Amino acid sequence: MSAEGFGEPQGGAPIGQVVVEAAGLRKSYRRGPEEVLALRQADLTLRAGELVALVGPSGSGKTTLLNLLCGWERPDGGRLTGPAAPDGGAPPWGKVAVVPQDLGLVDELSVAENVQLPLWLAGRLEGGRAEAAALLERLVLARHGDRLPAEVSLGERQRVALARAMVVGPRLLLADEPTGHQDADWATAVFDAMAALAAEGSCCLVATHSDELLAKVDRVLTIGDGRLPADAGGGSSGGG
Amino acid sequence: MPAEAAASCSGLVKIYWTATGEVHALKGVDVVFPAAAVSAVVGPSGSGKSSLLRILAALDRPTAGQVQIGGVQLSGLSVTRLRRVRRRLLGYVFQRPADNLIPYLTVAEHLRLAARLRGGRAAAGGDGGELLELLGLADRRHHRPRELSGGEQQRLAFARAVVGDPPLVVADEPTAELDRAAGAALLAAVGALAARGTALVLATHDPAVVALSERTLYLRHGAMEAEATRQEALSVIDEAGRVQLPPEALGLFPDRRARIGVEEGRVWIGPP
Repeated sequence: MSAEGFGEPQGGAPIGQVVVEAAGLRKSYRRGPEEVLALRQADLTLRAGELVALVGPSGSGKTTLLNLLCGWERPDGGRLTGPAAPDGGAPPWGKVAVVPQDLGLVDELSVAENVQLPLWLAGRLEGGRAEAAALLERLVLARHGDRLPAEVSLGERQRVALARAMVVGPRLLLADEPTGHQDADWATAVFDAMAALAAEGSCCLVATHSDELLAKVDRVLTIGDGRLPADAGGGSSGGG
Repeated sequence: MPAEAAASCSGLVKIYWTATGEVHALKGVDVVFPAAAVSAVVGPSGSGKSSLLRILAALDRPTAGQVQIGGVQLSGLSVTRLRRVRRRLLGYVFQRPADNLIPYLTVAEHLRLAARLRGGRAAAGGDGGELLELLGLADRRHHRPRELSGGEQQRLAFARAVVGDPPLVVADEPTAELDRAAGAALLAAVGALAARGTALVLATHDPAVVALSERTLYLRHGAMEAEATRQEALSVIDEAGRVQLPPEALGLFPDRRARIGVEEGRVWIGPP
């Protein structure tokens, strides 16, 4: 229907196909008079069908890397190819869906409507209702569907944001600490849901602090002091 | 309520209960907001501006008194129906530009979503192209909020609020976080939006907003002190017959007692 914003759902790609390739990514910010080098050197390859964890201490550059990969910010240097290649304009949601730390739910829309929003904007609501309902069932407790975001818990809101990102079956899903407000059972359920999405051909990159969940992912990328070690892609470069 | 009024309040009282006692934020406010006009609400902090705005926007309920928006009486409405009134009849613009927008939606998507929320004719309406043209955002259709300047973000917030031509849009100090040029561009846009039929009510400290407004309402101590048009300023007499003296006149009455007389169509008031 449109090439803008949420746009057409893309679905996953054939398992193993390269989704993101980055080499020597650099990004700095101005904070008052000083220049902060948030990302010094990031090299990574992400493939369709993978659930990959991004770990590192606070301030190590995790959120900056996610912002570059989703096209919200442009790198200062390095090479980036992927659904959000820096060719101007934000990529459609069907290509890159995000679960930002601040969630970004629409306050005036109910929980169910928030999840359906990407489908509606893509002109695909009728065909996707069942899928949205199944995700609600799986993640958000369907009985909360008619409530406003302000009327459910923070943990539930976080799962609403995840369901909204998953509903279009994005080529790349980027989640920034999506289990920060979940208890242990729900955190496991969140990772299981992302693993299921990856199995359908999406690529999921999850920034997390949660060590016990690393066993659930295919690979772990460790970022420290703005450096992400070169990664051959496909193979295991760490592990839970 | 006159037929041309977009909104009206009568006898509005708002009391907050705090740890240190009751706060009477509004003490019986009567006001009518005409359609297609910009009204400024000014007053020092603590005057009741925010309380009045939140009640007008159906974000809060008065302790007593009546509010009508677009002919709909708000008192007694359930939470669900009040939410529906907000969607159909009201727009609200926060002070901080970012609070009004959704980071992952493009400009055009903001307007489509607003039209959908508005429902009725708006939902089936166009793509908001005319509105974006009016607000100088036409070449920003495919941008997301973080790619817009603060002024552009706030113009988009107003565009979103007026989609579907609701009777009333309420804005809380919408120029407070903008520089002078961006504020001026926003105010030019606000004037053009009112001309489409929506009543705009802006709480403000900004003299530029007051200069733009057809009407300015002065609140003090939770009561309407005066109402000014571009031609003249008039004191307000409320339903109980109360008038607020300007602070400089109050000095004449240290005991807070006065003699009042009526002579030849005039009222005089003096110290005892």
